[in-house]
Amino acid sequence: MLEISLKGRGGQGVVTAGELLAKGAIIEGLFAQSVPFFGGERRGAPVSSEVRVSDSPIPLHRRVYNPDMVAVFDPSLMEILRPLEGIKNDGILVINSNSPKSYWKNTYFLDATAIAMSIGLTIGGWSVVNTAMLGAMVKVSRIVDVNAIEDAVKEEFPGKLGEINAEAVEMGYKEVSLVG
Amino acid sequence: MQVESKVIKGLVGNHAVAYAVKQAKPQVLAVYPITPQTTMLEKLSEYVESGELKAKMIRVESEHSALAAVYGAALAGSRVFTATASQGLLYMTEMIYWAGGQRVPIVAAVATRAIASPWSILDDHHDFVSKRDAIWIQLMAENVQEAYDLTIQAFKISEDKRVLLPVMMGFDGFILTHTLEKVELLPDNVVDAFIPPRDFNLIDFSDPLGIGQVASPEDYIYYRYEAQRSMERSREVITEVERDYEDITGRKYGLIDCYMCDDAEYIIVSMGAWSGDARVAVQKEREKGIRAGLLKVRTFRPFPKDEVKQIVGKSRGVVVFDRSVSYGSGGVLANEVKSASYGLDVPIHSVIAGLGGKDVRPLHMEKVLDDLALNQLEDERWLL
Repeated sequence: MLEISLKGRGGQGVVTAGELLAKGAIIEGLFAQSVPFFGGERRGAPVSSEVRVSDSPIPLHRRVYNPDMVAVFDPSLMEILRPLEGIKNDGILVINSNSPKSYWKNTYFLDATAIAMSIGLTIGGWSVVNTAMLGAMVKVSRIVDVNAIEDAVKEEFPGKLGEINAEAVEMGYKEVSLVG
Repeated sequence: MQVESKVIKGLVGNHAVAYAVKQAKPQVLAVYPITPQTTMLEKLSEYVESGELKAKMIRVESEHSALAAVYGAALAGSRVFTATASQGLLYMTEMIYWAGGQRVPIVAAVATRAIASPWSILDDHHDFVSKRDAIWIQLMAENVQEAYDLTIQAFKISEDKRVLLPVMMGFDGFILTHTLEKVELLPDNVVDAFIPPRDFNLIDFSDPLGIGQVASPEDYIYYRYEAQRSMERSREVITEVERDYEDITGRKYGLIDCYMCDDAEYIIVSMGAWSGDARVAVQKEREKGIRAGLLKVRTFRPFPKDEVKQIVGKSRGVVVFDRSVSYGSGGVLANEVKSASYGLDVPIHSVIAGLGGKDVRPLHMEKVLDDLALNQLEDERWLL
């Protein structure tokens, strides 16, 4: 079983990203769970989601304490939320950042904001980075085939919006790289 | 015969329950939004709007009115559904008793949530268990699949003429309502065959009568006696419905679920979503050489007294995990288990945990089971 922690801000699509990752795994025949965390969130406030993927049924409902992968949708959250707390020794960090700064021995980065802006994935001036981040997460973790994620994305967003988001998944998949 | 053409989907609990409701084809719905139930209402409204669910969604100004509306519709012969949580269930409470007292078939989902004060939108079981004396059958789900399955079963149990009682399907707020899990959905035609349209009326319109009139002392106690008898009869009906459901789905349910109970010396008792975490704790204890088992209560009302007593009687010690407290008395489920185990010489301990959404992990349960096995567990322990 793999446990993944997603951290972002309200409006970036963190909860949807967790659900799409779990749906992609389910499409592949795996078991998966996506657990969002809510407080008094508003646009811009920190939001988190936790995902489990396994090849056997998942009985757990506790929170995730020792993630195998942490995805940070906004680099400013590195200081506010301490998202690396509890990460497994060989765990992976995927961060949306425009500079290759190393926060952890396995840091992968991509400019998901630039990807979202380049293809018009914005709502009210906010870039919706979740699908680009998803592409990066499946590339570096190989938990789910990228095609299954694209299928889940197209099912979630029918029509043109689905195509644009699937493109974001592919761009994130291609652009993510190891800092180091 | 098991259904071959299952649809597998990733759904959050609220949407899985809404899907089950759509398949059950109620004719009248009245739901007032409240966290963490609201996304279920939104999904149901979409089904009604798109015509996928041909039902009247009555817009109401409160939970009290929501249940009043479906109560009337159910008396008039409709299959009905409502849902709520926490403060909403409290506000609905007067009508909850009316519906139970009149033994009207209603299905209500309760997305369990802590009660103010202090304010919390997160999970515990205080709202759900506070309705234990309202003459409602109360089922509680462990995961999203079970929430879907129990919702379908609830309609069949509620409308069975041997029962005729409202049914409350509880599932943990956020922990199940907002968690997406893998779910096997039944084809519509299979659900149609399992719960055919309701074919009886509680009112003969050619011979009108008043309902809910004042009862003399002689009559009043008789009504309540009949309610208790109906509740007792429902054990058999619930078991029968779950057996029929197992034939279709392969998923085995019952009044209780026992995991590794056969040779268990130490039993953890629980209800709801953390029963899954308790399974993991039991596995870990077994690896350490402690013969632990899980007794999960699925049917809170009627309480499975005989089944619980039988399991408790074979053990050396029991600990009951409660997400609710009867203040000045003790853990609500613990008290039920103690009452059911009257006459047995087995220590029954109570753990209060997870109130107001506080996370409980298998390792917490392991520690409690370790202490139980070492005879170091207090009568009542709070995991603060």
